[in-house]
Amino acid sequence: MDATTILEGITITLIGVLIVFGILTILVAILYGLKYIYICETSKKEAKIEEKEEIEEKQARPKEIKIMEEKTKAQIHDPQLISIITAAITLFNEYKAKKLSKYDMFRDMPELSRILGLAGISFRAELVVSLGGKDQQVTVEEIPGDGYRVHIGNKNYIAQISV
Amino acid sequence: MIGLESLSQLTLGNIVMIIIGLTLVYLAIRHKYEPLILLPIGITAVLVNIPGSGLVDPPYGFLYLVKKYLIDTEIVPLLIFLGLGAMTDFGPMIANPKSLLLGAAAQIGVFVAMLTALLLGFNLREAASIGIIGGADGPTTIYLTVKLAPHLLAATAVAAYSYMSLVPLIQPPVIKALTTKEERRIRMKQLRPVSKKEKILFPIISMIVIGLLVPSAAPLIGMIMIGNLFREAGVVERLRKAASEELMNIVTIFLGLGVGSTMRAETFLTYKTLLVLGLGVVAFASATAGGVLFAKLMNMFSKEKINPMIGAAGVSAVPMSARVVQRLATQEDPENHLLMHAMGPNVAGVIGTAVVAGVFLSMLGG
Repeated sequence: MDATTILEGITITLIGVLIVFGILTILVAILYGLKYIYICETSKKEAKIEEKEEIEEKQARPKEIKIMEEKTKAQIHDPQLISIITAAITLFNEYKAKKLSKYDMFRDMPELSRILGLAGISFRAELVVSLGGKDQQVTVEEIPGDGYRVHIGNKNYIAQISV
Repeated sequence: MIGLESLSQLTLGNIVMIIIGLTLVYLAIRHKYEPLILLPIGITAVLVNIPGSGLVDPPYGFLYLVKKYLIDTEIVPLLIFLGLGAMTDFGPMIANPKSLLLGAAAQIGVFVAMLTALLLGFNLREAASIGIIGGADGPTTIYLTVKLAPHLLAATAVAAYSYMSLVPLIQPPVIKALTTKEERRIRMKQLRPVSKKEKILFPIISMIVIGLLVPSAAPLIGMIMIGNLFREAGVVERLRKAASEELMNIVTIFLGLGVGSTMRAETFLTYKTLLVLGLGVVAFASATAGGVLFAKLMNMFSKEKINPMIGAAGVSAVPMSARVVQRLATQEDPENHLLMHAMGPNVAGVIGTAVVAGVFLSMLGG
């Protein structure tokens, strides 16, 4: 065992440890750089996806229904009344679809039913809407190109559907 | 030479070596200790200790030629690195860059073993070859030993591969001694996904950086990174497959034959071999300790705690040391899965050992 050799060994150890940690630390920094690129890319991709989703959401956004009293043109805010009118329109559409499905022409191409409105033909249905155990007599009538007229009690309401 | 003449030349040393060779064969077959390498080494050791075979005699002995042209020229260890690269997924390390530091910390074991070897009377070149066993990387050990202390090749190679297979026995006591139950139960956040671009850029960048900073490590790092690029590029599937399967298998056979051919009684049966085998344990244990202690040190400065056991995987021995960590983690908490976290330091250890080998070569001359 020679003291010089041991000293040389210690020197190699110190330099070696320093170099190994130094180089691998540089690699760590490089990997963090790569991670940053990955995050940037991912956020760009996510932004693109979000943008796409937003467009799709806009396209798929439900149509807005504006309900007002026919005479006063006052907008209706009573939730119970809105529920009855909405249910009545849904039932009316089901009734209309059933009627039209009797004809092959409309069954094969439902969009053709629009021409009925152009021809001045509109549907009308007298329905009973049950809400909270209480039956309500409702009459629904189509206003070609302008929505529905809903008659409840002695009042008429206009439901306009906008995109 | 026939019959009794050959038998009369059989020395006690030859018989001991034949027994050692057969023991390696037994361990490889019965206990599956690194069978791919220990089986050919063991059986070749038996063969070269049968007097008069001429297999290791210059200039045309088959095993002499294998060693001279494939091992001494470094062709085999480098081709093994190419195959290793093609088989290695650096993803867990890229996802958690800090794990590279654990791979660096485990190299402390290399230096501890080297200094211990110096204290035991080995010279610097021998001590470096012994120390590198702590890197738990067979090809790197062979690569360095052939250049620095070729007379120790058999001992260091056998020690490296034997202890690699003994990782499940060597590491757990060291890990348990250095960690508390609570530390072993630390759960780690799931690793982020790694993009293909990152996986392609990493081998290219690291090859250039390490090649420029430690040119003597460039052959090892270069080969592993080229192999890894074959894997990650996704356009040279045939080359990846050839490097990781056919070529890897062929060079592993030659490595076993080449190393086994050095296990002749007159060169292997020395007190130095025993010391090398003993120092191998020191190297593995101190490398494990280095990784674990550094992980604990990192926890002192980091908000996001890491399970210190993954530091032990910095001892490259891919993937055994990572599996050991996983097993210990599930022993403490059956739902704590650390395998992927341990794979980061595990593959970082391979890079770390190659860099250390480069440092030794540049400082001690190849």
